[in-house]
Order: sequence, then structure tokens, then C-alpha cells
Amino acid sequence: MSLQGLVQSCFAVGAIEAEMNASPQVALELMHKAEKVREFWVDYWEAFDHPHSRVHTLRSGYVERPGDYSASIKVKFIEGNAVRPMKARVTAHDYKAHWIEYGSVHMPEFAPRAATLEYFGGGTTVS
Amino acid sequence: MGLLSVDGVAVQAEEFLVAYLSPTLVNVATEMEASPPLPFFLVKRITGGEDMVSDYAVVSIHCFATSRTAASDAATSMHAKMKALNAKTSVTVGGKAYGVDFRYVEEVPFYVDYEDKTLRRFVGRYRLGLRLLKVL
Repeated sequence: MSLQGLVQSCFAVGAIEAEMNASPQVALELMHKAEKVREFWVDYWEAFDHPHSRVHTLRSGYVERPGDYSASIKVKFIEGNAVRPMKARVTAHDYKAHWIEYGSVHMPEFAPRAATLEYFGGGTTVS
Repeated sequence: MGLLSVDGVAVQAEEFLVAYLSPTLVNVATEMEASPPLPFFLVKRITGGEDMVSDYAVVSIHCFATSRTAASDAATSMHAKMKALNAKTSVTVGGKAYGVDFRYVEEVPFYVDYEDKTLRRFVGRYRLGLRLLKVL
């Protein structure tokens, strides 16, 4: 048996993980944490001045409205099982999202996603 | 590299990276004019906090070129140089030697549209641990 296997069997790591994965309290806390992340991301973005924000129609016919980016930041959940914990993913779906995050000719690099990750202490994930 | 100090200041992350990358890469700067010389490397701090020991800067490095292939090549060179940055590296900024405690790759360079048909861009993001040093 490997050292990792020995440690896992001694401390019943698998059983503890399965218990946590099935726990409604853990799932509830994950939902709360994901909502906090979403709220921070939206608040961070809304705190900037948006002098050019207006209703306008793109050549494609798509009508852009103030608040589209904030409204596009949504939480999705990935179902877990006995061996895989439930996960939450927060993403911005607006077509401007990558320009807002990384900047463009017409836009500074606001990086609200990076700031959110920084606040919650993660590189690409929040724990 | 100076004395650690809780009331000290860290070297500016952007200046540090411009000084570090410039000997190897051409056109490294913290601001970019219209129609820049290419390839062009734009260094920008985007976020990062500080505690009593270090400044933890998160920095974007944008690699611009005329084609996607050229931008990818520029990004590859930049990324190799960034991965070579470690705690033993000494960089001279304003006549003083500075270094990093650590360098993490937050995002490996990848293609991001720039809304300009004449420029192609790859962006990488890195986190640096820059020690607060006593101002002498």
C-alpha cells in the first residue's frame, strides 16, 4: 500500500470526503460562497465610472443596455457525487467580458475577474 | 538587496518587469502609443495587495504583433523569460538591485482580441512577491 493510501485508510479520508460531498450544509455553504463571489464581482465593476454606458444598437441588431455586463455574471453549479465534490463556477457571459477583463483599443484593462479572485485569495479558484 | 522593513516600500512591479524583460525583449513599456513598434510588450499591474512583508502584485503582460503567429512567438519568448525569474534573480531598477520572493504564473499567455484588425495580442498574467524594503 502506498503511503498516501495508508494515510487515507488510517484517517478514513474517503469516508469523510463522501460524507462532506453528500452534506446539505456543505452544499448550502458553497452556494453562499458562490453568491458572495458573484456579488463582489458585480460591486467591483459597478464601482467604476461608466461615462460611455448607454443604450445603443449594434450593426447585428443586438440592443446593448447599461448593466448588461453585470447581469451576465452568473453562478453555475456542477453536480458532485460520492468521490467528486459539488463545484460552483462564476462567469461573465456578456460579449464584452474579455475586453473588460483584458482591455482593448477602446477600453482600459479593468480586470474585475482578477480582482475578485485576488480578494478571495485564489489563483483561478476560490476555496 | 536592501533591508526588510515593515514600513518600507516595494519596487514598482511594472518598472521592475520592464527592467527585467528589456535586455532580452525589444519594446517593453508600461504605456503604448498608437501604431507602436512591433513586437510590443505592454506591462500593466492590474491588482494585488500588500501585507507587512511584501507587495503581491498581479501583472498582465500584453504581447502585440502584426499576426497571430508573430504574437504567439513574442508571447512564447516573454513567457520563457518570466518563468526564468526566480528568487535568485537580481534586477537593477534606478541604480538599486531588487528581486522577487516568488513568481507564479496566474495565466499562461493566450490569444485575446484587441478590437484592432492591425494588431494581434496574447496576454499572460503573473503574480510577484516583492519584498518591502527600508528606504535608505
